[in-house]
Amino acid sequence: MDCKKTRQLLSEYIDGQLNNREARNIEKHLSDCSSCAQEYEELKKLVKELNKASGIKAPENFLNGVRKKQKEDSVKTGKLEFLKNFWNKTPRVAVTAAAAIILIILLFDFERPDDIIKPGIDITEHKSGGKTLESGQENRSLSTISPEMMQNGKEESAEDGRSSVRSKVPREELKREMDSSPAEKAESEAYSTGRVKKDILKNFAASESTRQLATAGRKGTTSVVTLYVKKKFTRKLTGDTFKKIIQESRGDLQEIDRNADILLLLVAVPGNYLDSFRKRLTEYGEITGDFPSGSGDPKVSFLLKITYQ
Amino acid sequence: MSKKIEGNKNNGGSFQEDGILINTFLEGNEESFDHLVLKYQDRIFGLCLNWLGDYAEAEECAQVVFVKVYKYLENFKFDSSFSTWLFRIAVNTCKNRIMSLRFKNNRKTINIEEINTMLSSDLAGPVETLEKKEKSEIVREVVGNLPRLQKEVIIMRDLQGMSYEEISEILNIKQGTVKSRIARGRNILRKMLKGVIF
Repeated sequence: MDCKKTRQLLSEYIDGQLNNREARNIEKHLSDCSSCAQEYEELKKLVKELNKASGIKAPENFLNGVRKKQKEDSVKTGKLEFLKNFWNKTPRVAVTAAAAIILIILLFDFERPDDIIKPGIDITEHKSGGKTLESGQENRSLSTISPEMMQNGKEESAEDGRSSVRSKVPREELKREMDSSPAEKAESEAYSTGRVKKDILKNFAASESTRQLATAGRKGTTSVVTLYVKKKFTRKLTGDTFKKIIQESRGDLQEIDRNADILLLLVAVPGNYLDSFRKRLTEYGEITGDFPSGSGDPKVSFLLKITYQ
Repeated sequence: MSKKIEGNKNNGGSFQEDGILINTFLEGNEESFDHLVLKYQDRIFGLCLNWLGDYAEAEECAQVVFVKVYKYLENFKFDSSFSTWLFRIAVNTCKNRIMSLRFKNNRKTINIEEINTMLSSDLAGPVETLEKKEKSEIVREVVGNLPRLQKEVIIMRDLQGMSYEEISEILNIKQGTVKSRIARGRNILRKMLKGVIF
């Protein structure tokens, strides 16, 4: 064994990591080579000194410090858990209400309540979308409010010189959209008179007044929620889960609005999950017509109307 | 909550003792956790001190290690020894701590008085103790200035007395890598400590 190889293995030799043959070769070389033997002695002393330097004791009352820190950590964790629970338990009411109010603000022109409805969703976000869908399966129907319709509104809006992000959906279009059932007719009427926004806002404010409004004026009211379908969420989105989400959304809204017959969902789905989302919707209710396309888009947004009959 | 101890480890006695303490802790006996802390506190604190080079930071870091152990012990699967799992947590906590901006900004030089207070002087006379402390201090400082990869393994092997196998498991690197890093680290130290210890 030469000097280079010997020096490479000295550390392992000191630690007893070599096999018998390698160890014998090292020993033979060390007995013949004073330079390597000196390096070996130095390494041995070094390891001894390092071992001596290892005698460290933990500070006094270390255990008490751990206990204290652990308690502090538990309190922090407890707070986090509370927040987490708060988030898990309340969003359907709180988020729904907040989302709906925002959407209403975007959807309707408060300054001119009797004017035609102006959905204020940024049309640039509606990169793709389907045509108006009207269908029913058992007791519900699903429909998307056509982005083309919104596009028309945008053009009109531009003619009016209004903000380009606000669009108008002509009353006639909505009337046609909601012309198939008494509840929808009432809804359409409500839209046309600008009552919907007041109703919805009151829905969130007090269920009692909503009920009064509902019985006084029409059979159904409209509730609006925002449903952001995220990647993770979509993965878990089974037919049952979706059904539950919709029911729970509606269920929460029922706390505020027991008469809601129509649920409007502003849906945002990552393009590549659009297909799976469509399948889930199909499991929930029958969709006729074209579903929004745009699987290549990062996000496809559209309004989905669910009618409970 | 209780878990069955599975697998055979060479360090049977300690492994079994740890297993019993863990199981009784998971069954609700808080004192068992205290026993685990007392059993490992010197080694964990020593590792943190050697790694971070700052007494107060090391104390804080070692306490955080045990808080993590308390929190995640129910996830321990007994697929390695408890000490390997514990030291893996300690090593990762040290690495994170040393990387944190806060630590970087607050890094202090080692206070020799602080170091002196923690070294045991039970077995040696005053003069020998002073000499030992000075040498140990220098050795520790030099180890602290090693390149990171060598520093890790030298601390674990020569200051903590871990086996090559344990180091390999804790750092999740091959034993061959452990060997070469130790050899390289010791060679650097040998050159740096010439005139100090030989």
